[in-house]
Amino acid sequence: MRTLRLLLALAVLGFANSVSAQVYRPETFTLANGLEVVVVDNPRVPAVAVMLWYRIGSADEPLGKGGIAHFLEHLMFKGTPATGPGEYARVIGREGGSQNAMTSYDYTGYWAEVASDRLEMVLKLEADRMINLELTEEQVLSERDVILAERSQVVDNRPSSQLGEQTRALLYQHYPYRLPVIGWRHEIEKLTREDALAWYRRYYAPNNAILVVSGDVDVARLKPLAEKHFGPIPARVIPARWRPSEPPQRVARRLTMKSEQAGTASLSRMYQAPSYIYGDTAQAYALQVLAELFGGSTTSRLYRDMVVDQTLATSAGAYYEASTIGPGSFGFYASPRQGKTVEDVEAALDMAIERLLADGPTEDEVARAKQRLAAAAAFARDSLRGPATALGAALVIGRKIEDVEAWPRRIEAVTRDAVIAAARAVIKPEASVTSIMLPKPTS
Amino acid sequence: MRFILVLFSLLLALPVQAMEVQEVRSPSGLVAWFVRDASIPVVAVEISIAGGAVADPAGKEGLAALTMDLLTEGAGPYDSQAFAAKAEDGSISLDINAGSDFIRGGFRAPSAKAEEAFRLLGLALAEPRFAANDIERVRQQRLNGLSREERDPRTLASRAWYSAAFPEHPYGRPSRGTAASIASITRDDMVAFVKARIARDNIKIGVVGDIDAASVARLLDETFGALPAKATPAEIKSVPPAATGDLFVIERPVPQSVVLFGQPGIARSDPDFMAAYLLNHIFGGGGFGSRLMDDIRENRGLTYGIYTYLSTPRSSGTWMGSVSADNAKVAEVIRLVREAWQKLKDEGVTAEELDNAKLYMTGAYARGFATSRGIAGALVGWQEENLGIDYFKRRNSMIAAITLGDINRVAKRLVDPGKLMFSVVGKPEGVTPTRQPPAKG
Repeated sequence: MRTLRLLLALAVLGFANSVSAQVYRPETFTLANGLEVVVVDNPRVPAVAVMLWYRIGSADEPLGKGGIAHFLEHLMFKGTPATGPGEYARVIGREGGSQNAMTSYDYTGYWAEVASDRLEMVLKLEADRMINLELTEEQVLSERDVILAERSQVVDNRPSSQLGEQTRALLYQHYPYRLPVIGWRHEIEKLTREDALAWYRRYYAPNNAILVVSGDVDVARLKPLAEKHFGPIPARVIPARWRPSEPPQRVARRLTMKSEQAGTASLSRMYQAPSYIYGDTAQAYALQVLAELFGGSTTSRLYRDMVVDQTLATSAGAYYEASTIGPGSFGFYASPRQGKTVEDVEAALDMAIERLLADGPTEDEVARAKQRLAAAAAFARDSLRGPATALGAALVIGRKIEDVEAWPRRIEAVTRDAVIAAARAVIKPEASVTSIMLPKPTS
Repeated sequence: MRFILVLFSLLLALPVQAMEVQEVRSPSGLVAWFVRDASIPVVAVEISIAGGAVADPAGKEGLAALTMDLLTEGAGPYDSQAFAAKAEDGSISLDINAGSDFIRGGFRAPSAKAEEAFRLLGLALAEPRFAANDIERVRQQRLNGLSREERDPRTLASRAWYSAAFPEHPYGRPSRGTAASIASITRDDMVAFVKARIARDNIKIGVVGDIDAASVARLLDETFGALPAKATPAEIKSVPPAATGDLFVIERPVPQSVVLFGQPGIARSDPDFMAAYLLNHIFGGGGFGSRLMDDIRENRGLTYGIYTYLSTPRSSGTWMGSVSADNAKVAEVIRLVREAWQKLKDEGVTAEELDNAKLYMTGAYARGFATSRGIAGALVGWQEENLGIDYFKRRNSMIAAITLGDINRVAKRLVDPGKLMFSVVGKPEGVTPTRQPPAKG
């Protein structure tokens, strides 16, 4: 269940970050070489979060090179002529900062948090490794082993991650979201230094990146520093991002995994859904309200029905992922109580879905869900990196600042009819993937 | 160059020192440490109650954890659903959880809902309902959680290590319980636990945010005033871990072995604690740039991550580490950890390592105060450890004062490769156990 929980947490986080848009009041400017810059002035603590987002992720990888985006993310810490191997992390640490990076289907992002008087140091380091990365064969091979160990740790040792990986391969039939971000082991094992450098040279450029800085900073201070360090880096011709469309889904899919490492039975049901960018994008807002009222909390319909009233399940909920360039996903999950089976839980889930599709939610359910989502705005600034994460994640998939700003209004505008229409459009048996985890007695 | 860096670190430290912590006393004598911060419309509260899982009676392991889960499942006039709806509709995130030595709880709320959040927290502590159906639901959730944990290599490794290191001691028992202990817990057990633990003399409080001191004083009485005056003491004997230098293996069919290792540590109240803290940072606590991460991940590619940390429960101290590595490589990782441990004892650390660690520790301190709940948690943590209300002003100069002589003296005193005990879960190749894993607790 760890995968589902994580997805749920990410979905909720996405909402909370987005809702606070009105409070971010970001300012933007663009350098002559195409680097977009976003600033959120939030001088609550004398520190800044610096995030550099590249518009390139695992879903952009050529077939056969699965995992190269993530591999390069790791290799970006290996140094330049000016900054020795591992020096990036050491310098930031010596200055009291933290740093890391992340790779997703649609983006690769790097972040550092430092005291605000260290802003220039971070910009200098980020600009340097945007253009001057150096890699030795030895570094690349050693880091490939690290990534294989990472894959063992986060996927191969965890049955829930393995089932999640197999589920996505069925949920998306053509779109590259069917492939794991980290890559399949047999392809990771063959990635080379040349692959990494080719990827780097093709996609790492100012006109393919977004710099977001939040915290104790303003445009007047950031702009000259951004000009000084990123300004001299020439733009490159970046290949246009091409993504396929999904064919119609015609047959419900099911998969069952039995594992000695799984402690409890669990059920997941997923559907492809529109996202902010893909398909009927207007439904993205109604689907957020739907997920919240149907399965977003312990007072949601699904939890009340299956966990509290019928006492069939120990957990039950729904989630929706909208922040993707390609198809989003909508899903349900539940885990049976002792003495109950996955079949019991699935029957109850089916009934609840049927009722939802037939009668829709009540006006009160819709109103409460909208209010709860929107109220999270109060917390927008109660974090250093939060604003940079929310804005970067939106811009990097092609959403506009205005979209982020308008989020509370668009949620507010969702009607009960829109929720019903979105539910009926997405929750179709033939478009579903049902995955079941069953514990197997230890041998 | 080093001189300039030191200056920088002092600059970094200034804003934290500018934070004002007040002691607020209610009319009835309850005390909270309070930081007023009107920069955002948020109020956060953290409370700490002495006596968590260590107060579980024998055979009732998991009582503290289960009871705390139930506190927010219906209280006062509200049943479970109504209580949750009150919190959700106010955008109040409220939680109460049992740790080992302490129960921690609190909330974050929009300041417009602060009064409501205090009221819900007060109801949860003073008037939990413990309705039969709620107990059963939460019990089932816990049992489900236990089933998962019992197959999780990391949890298995940890339980076995602590069971071996603390036989016959509360720290060696599973704090979240076992299937048998969870099944045996009754409503009366929970009522008795709450009565014994949650009392005015046993609660530390931190308040942060967009609220004034007079309101805090009033709300302290409204929230905690109805609690009993005195808790039952929950003292346990202080013991060092019985770490022996042994290695044991719990066989599981997973491709990667999960390893937890540790040796006796140091008490939080020990005058050498800060030096030990820096020592750990240099050795394995600092992530990228620490010795273990540099050698075992960056140079050799043997693992995705390796970390060490000082654990300072009230009545003991351990120096722990964790790493995962593929079954074929884990023997080499264990050998390298042992070698690094020995080298640390023999050679200590260098002046450069110490300087860098001090710069990180002092420079990073301010960022720990970036969230309201984080500040509230720190306010309560300083009270738990009796560090004093001005601790955060003194803390960075305490670190700056540590010399190479200090830290290497502490390395000699503390680092003890002969007592480094390994708990391994997986199918490790080439690893020879020196003892059986402890019987399942």
